[in-house]
Amino acid sequence: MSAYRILASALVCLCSAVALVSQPASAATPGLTLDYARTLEQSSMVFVPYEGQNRGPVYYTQYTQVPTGTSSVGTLRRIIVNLRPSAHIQELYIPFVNQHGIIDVSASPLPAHGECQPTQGIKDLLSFMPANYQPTILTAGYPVACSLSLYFPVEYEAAVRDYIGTRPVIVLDATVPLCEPTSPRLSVNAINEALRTAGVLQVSQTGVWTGNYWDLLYESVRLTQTRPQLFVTQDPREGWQVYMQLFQLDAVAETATMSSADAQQSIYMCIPKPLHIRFGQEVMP
Amino acid sequence: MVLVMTGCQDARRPDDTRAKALRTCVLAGLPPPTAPGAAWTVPGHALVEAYQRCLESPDTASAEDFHALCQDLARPSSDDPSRVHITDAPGGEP
Repeated sequence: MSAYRILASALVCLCSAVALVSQPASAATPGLTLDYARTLEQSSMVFVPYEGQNRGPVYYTQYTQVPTGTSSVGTLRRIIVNLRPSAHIQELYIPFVNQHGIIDVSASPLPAHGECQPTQGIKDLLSFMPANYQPTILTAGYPVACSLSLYFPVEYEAAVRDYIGTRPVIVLDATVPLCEPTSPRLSVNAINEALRTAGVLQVSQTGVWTGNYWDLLYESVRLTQTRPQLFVTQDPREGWQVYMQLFQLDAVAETATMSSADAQQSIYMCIPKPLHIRFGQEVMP
Repeated sequence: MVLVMTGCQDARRPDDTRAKALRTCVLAGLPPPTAPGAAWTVPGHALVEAYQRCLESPDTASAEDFHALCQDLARPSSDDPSRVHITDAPGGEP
């Protein structure tokens, strides 16, 4: 049985305790929430739109290493090896985007969710090169996940190209913390209405909810016991914690207030579905 | 008919003993402070659940009763409305 987790802020963090945790993936654009219910997966591409939009990040589960042409640097030669999504090389990306009207925000899984390293094999092959000319990972532009810079003597070019063509020279290891499309949403309004019926909360004409803090505390906890489904998490106290944290407190008057905006929220209670992106760890199938 | 007014004694709630026993029981049922000398805060639901467990009968549970318990026992946490600070009542004892 899946455990429910709550990931609440812009940070990418997975925690196993009941305590409040940070928000899942990375909105490539901070402040926007991903709508996991509309996740699209096709041909090693995973698209998750932002709520209310068809814009969002496209992540890739398969990559191909693509060497560039050789450039000269003094007496040395240089090749850049790009780790490019296989879906782009196979010309599957454009039809996918067009078919679904996707607006790609060009989010890279790196560096937020993982890293690239040169393989031990390519480091061993070029271990004789001076320190400044060792295989080095470079930051790349989307959709390339990362690039590898290789310097070598001119007489090594054939061997290096042969090596690149027959085995991985880059190790990519990333995990994007996505959520199950079926992750439940906490309806703040449903809880507020239940507490209004219980006489605990009142709502103003501007949609602001207020009540005595102690009454709110008591009756809301009772609600987790009598109507746990309102809090949608497996342990309703997790959803209850998120709900309570939407209130502002006047500690002197002992009143709790929730803004109209917060009262209208439908908050994702994420069931983690991490997207593992790997390249170079295993022998090519 | 003559109404004989007797002077009211100073307030001595008949359930004073009950209130003290309830408070003692609830305090014992709360998660302890995380460190000696640290502010004692607990999840709000833990306070409610401790109150419920300490009642002689579930039928006696009420928001008013809980509210009365909390007056000498806890105060809200402005930083995190899901948690409460546990306080010592003036002159009170565990």
